[in-house]
Amino acid sequence: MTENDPERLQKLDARLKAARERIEGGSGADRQQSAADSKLAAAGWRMSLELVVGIVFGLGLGWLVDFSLGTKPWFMIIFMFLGLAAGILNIMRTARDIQRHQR
Amino acid sequence: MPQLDPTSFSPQLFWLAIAFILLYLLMSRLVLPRVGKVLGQREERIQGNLEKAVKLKAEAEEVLAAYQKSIADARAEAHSALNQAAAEIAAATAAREADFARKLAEQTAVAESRIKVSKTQALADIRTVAGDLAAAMTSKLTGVTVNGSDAGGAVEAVLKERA
Amino acid sequence: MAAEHHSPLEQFRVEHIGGNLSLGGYDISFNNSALWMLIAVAAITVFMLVGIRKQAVVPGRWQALVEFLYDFVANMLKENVGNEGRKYFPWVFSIFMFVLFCNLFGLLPNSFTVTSHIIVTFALALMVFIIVTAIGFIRHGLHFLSFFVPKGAPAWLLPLMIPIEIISYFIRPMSLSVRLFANMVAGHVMLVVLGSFVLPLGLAGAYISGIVPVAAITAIIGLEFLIACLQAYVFTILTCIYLNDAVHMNH
Repeated sequence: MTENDPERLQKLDARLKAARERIEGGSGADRQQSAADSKLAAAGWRMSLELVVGIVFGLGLGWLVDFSLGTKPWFMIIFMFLGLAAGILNIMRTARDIQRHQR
Repeated sequence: MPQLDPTSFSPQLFWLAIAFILLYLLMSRLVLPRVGKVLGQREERIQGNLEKAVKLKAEAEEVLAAYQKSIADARAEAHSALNQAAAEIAAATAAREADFARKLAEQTAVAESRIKVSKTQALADIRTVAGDLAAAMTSKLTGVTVNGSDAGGAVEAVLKERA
Repeated sequence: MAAEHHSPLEQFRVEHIGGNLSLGGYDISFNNSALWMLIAVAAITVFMLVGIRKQAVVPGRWQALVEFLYDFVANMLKENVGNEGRKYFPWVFSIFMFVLFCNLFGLLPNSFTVTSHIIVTFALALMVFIIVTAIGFIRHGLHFLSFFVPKGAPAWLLPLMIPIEIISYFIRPMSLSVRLFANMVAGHVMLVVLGSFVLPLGLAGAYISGIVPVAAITAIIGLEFLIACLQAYVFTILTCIYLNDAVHMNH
């Protein structure tokens, strides 16, 4: 037993706490940063197609309805706009997800 | 585009279903439980080591506390022993002083009483000597012979007058 | 890699291997696409099992990679769905690994890219769509339909909003499949087109003018590798997000 034993114990205490945080608290700051980056990239990819797919889906659905009801081209036009709106809706949701993750 | 050839659809769908179901079964039954087990064991082990370290640290702290307590105890014991010794010494000193004072008082009393006795003796002697002296002086001066006891009475009277 | 291909699209051709098979009137003949699907399944299984075989507490590189993939998907699922997502982990993990390995194997010379066929990516996306919708109905019953009614919207807007919500729900499998398909096709067409520049030039001895396409091909293969991984990630994270919608019913 020497005089600096309590000091050494305190250091050990700090190291134990750090180890516990590493295991339970999970990741360090940079790991979270890179995860956020890849999430942003993924969100960009998600947005890239929504409009096109929305419009094409609307056109297809409208064409089907028109074809079966003989109302060309009205439902095609209506559903095209609905599809566009749906695409915009999906993009807005994606954008909100990104904001939520960034916070 | 070969992708749009509808004759390729049904075989691809069929084999995709086979492949994916096979993959799912392999992963869920065989592969993932193994990986999960290894990860679980590691976590347990790390947790165990950490707990052991925490326990050892607690033990070390306990030992340290016991050590500090024993030092404090020893110090307190020494202190009380010291206090006791000091008190004993003080008591002995006081007793001896008291004894000395008592003895001194006794001796003083004896000496005082002795002085008193010799003083009264001396006073009585002075009376007889003064009476004798007065008788001798009277006879010498006047030629009258004075009785010793008369002279003594006269001296006594004078002493009483002056006292 | 493109020496024997005449057209950049030739690499996507499905060719029968062995005789014709049929089931219930449908052609189910074994072909190169099926071969590469099975190769992917076998490779994933072998890769995982060999990586984890030592069960070391301190992992080697291979085992660390296996564990990384496991943790990666598990964390994705946990972040997006929470603890309720745990029981879907084998399914999500299978999707991720299948798409990842099919994408990566497509980069090998003379291979076949399973995920460059819209029917395959659409079938995968449709599987996600059907399973997620089924989970929604199993967990919430008919109440799951209220998922299509936007919260806080005024009543007079609902006749417009509900069709939009429904369409936005139904375009999910399409954007999911088209995205993966388009990325794989575009990258591979680009690789083959550039490759077709390199070989004739190289054979003609024009080394100097051949260097530029080689450098470009190297860069593009690197990019393709990234895209192969990123698209597998995107496909999987969208699966997780849709799963979360079905489990928790919040947009």
